[in-house]
Amino acid sequence: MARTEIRVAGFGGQGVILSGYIFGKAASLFDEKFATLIQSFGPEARGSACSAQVIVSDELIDYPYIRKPDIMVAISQEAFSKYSYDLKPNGILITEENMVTVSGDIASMYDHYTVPATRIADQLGRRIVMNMVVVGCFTAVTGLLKKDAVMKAIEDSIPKGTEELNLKAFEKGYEHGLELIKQRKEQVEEKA
Amino acid sequence: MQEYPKFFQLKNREQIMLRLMVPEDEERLLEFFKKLPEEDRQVLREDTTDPMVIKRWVQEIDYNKVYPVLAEHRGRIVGDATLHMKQYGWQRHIGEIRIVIDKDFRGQGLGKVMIHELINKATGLGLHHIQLSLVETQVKEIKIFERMGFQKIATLPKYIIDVNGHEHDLIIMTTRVSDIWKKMEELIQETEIDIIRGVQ
Repeated sequence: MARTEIRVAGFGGQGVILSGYIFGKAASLFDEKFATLIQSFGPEARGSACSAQVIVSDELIDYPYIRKPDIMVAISQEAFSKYSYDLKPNGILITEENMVTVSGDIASMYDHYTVPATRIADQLGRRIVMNMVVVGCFTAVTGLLKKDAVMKAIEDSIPKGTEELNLKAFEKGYEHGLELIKQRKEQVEEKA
Repeated sequence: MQEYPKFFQLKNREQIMLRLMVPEDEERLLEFFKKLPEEDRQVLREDTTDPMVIKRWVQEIDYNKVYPVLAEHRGRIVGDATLHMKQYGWQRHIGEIRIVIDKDFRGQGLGKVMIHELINKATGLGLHHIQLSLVETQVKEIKIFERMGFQKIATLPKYIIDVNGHEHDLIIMTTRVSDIWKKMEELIQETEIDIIRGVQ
């Protein structure tokens, strides 16, 4: 793996930047890789599109901006519309099931996964951990980062006292991601 | 993440071990409750001197419904604190605390340690409020809980009848444990909004 470009996009207040920060921290501090994080925003603080650009690499990163992301995570429709144009063909696209609608034509261009992160977070009792469900799903689906490394990065990045629920949300997302991978394999085997 | 056992030193320098209740605690729990003074047992919800009550508790352990933390001193149970949670319905964001401390270990900070343990657990689980019920005669306990941030929210007059037939007020106290989540919100806001202000 020379260089993997990731874009996490959503609206302000969803924990987009924190998610990107966790990916970067997991890679650089707990997974012996290199990482950079660049954040960009829409014109308003809340409710407008924002995105985190993360690069993970086995080698030193000379240019920290993404050119054509290999992976995109979109947790709001506006952010998906605004940022999905440059995702690589056949790249991994992870979207929040109830927040983002992806047409069949567009979905077929990518390796598309959906995660009901808001619903899972609501079931756990706090919507604010929705981004951790997404982080869990990302970890399972992409296989880019070690699970333990991401969990350590979460514990290292969040306020004390919130670890248990945040990690539970991560686990739920991770389990969902594994289930999606399993279903995908079964579909491939059926076709074969 | 919470990991047990945990060790604490009390004011009298005695070391206490905190751990979760397990089915093997049946006998020692019964000893602990039998040793409690009669006036303490009066305010408990069940007859804890009945071996069948304790047997049922340990047989029905479900940490998702009742999170039971025990304090152990030299192999003897000296404190029992439980966080009761509803899995469904309009009270699923509320945890209820019940706590009993051995008479010889009161005033040494053990109750405070155990309550903090449960508050941390409740916070981690995403509960919003912790509630507890006390009898008006538990004046010292009410003051301790007030010092820990609990507030009296209701008094139910003459709501309790003790074993001697006397009526007492029931005091309900609560504390909001969701404030810790404000820090999480602030963290998200800070990373996303302060930077926006910076680039505008």
